Amino acid sequence: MSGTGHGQAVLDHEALPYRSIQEFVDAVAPLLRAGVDAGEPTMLAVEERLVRGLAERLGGLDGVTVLPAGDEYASPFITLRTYDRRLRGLVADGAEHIRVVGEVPHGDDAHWHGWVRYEAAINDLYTELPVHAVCPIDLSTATPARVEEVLQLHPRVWTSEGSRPNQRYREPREFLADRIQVELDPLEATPPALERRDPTPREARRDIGDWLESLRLPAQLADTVELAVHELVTNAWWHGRPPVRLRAWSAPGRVVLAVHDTGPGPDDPYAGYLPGRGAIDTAGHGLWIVNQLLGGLTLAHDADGFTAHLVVETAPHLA
Amino acid sequence: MTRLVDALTHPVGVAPHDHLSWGYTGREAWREAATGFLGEGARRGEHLLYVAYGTETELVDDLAGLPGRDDLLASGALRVQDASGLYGPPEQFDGVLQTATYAAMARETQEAGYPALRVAADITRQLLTPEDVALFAAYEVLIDTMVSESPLLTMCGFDAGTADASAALALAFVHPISSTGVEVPDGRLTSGGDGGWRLSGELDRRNLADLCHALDVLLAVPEPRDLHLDLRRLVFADVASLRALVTAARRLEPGRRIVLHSTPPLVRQVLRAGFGAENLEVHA
Repeated sequence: MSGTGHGQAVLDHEALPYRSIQEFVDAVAPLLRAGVDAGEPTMLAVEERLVRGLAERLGGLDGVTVLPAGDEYASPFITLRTYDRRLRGLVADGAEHIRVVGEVPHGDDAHWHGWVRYEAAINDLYTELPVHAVCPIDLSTATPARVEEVLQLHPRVWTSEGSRPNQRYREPREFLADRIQVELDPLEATPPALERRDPTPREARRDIGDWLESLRLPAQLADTVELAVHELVTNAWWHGRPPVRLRAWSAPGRVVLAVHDTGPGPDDPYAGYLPGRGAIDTAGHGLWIVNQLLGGLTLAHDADGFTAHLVVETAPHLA
Repeated sequence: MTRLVDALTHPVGVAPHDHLSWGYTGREAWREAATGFLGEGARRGEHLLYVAYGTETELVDDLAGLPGRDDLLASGALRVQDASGLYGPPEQFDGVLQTATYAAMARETQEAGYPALRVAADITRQLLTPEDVALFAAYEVLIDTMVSESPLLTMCGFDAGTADASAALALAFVHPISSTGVEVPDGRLTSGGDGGWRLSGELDRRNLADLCHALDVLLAVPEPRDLHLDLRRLVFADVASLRALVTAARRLEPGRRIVLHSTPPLVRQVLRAGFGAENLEVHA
């Protein structure tokens, strides 16, 4: 039985829109208290001011695992993996129900596409986990567009009056497919700075390495991007169909890469989200590592095949 | 001890503990390679062994270009041996026995006052099917340790046009030196001569199966308990290769480890981000 009392012991993924600390505390305090009283693993990963508000209301947070929000939500795909391991570990250790209140950083421009994918993926990847996940969003600071996206990715809404169905919720796979055009970097509409047809992974890696060196990218970041390109081109050859086309662009603050092949691409819309997702032998691990190291990966099916798009943030003066 | 790890155009400039995989095309190319290789040994006063397929007369004829050949044969400094007799049929090949045979030859060589035993061996007919290649590559992993620790250097030659297509890559992967005459990726897993092993060059999909095979061979041996891998000459490793290392470590029985040394920063970053294993120890 879930903590909200409206279903089987499976995932409840709820948005919690709030405008003030008091509104947040009113909604969350009863949920935490019930979790602690029931002896359930109860986790809280929100801003310090919200933690303080809850501690004052509840007279302390004994029994609640308070996680530093900055560390927990540093990078979407690392967070997805961390929670996946943590939640499955708790279930393996006998937890019958788990509560998590965690707020993703709605002002994180660099990772916003990743956070949207994270919120979408939770609905499908954690489906069978007995978790009540409440995701607060501060309506006074998040932009209306981001609020709208967040609301479309939570099947239910949690308030101080309890849980209710969310009429704006959209099926996550459909949502993500529709959103791809938003995620594509406008640079891709311009002539690429580098273009290679049918490069081997090794050639692609070396050519991109030379190009990144000319952009004066720091060596460690350049090595990581070279590995990413190697993995994307390897996937195109092993799982896609030639011709394979590698293109690259740069602008102040970012480099953009696209690897296209004429194959169908992975069936799994969450390929690369967790290890082995979309795996045909070792595929899926390469994409997953790219997401872990760099984020910024968008997989898109298009009219003539499949493209892996990668946006890498750099220092503003570079590229 | 520093072993040469490289791809060479000619099999010369080598020394005891070196171990060459020498792909060639056509018998004449092999004769030329063997003559150059053994000629260098003759100049250094080493004991020479030429192993190839044929009668004694044919083998001696192969070395017609070797300066002082007849004197070397007469003095016993050069011996020739039929490969079929030495190795037997591929399906009956016993790598452990063959390793012991070469170890004994190297000891006898030293006892006879030679500085080293230099062996040029044509192994083409041991490599006619993928199964034969896998069996022989496993033997090469085992013998590489012995070569790295003994007064011995060997050149393992094969006709790339006759041997199975997998031979060039599989053999180059487990030899510190290979021929530039047959193009293969330069990734290698070879003995460091200090009880440890070295992963060098580029590891990717092209040599992933060879990496997995070599790891299987090394870890099937009960001693030493830990497999120490020096990565200082590793140029690149893709995700699948690193995952292969982790998978090998996870299969180890408790108490055994794979220990990585001089691990490049990106490899450490990938392992940290994605692939932990209790039995995998990673050092910078």
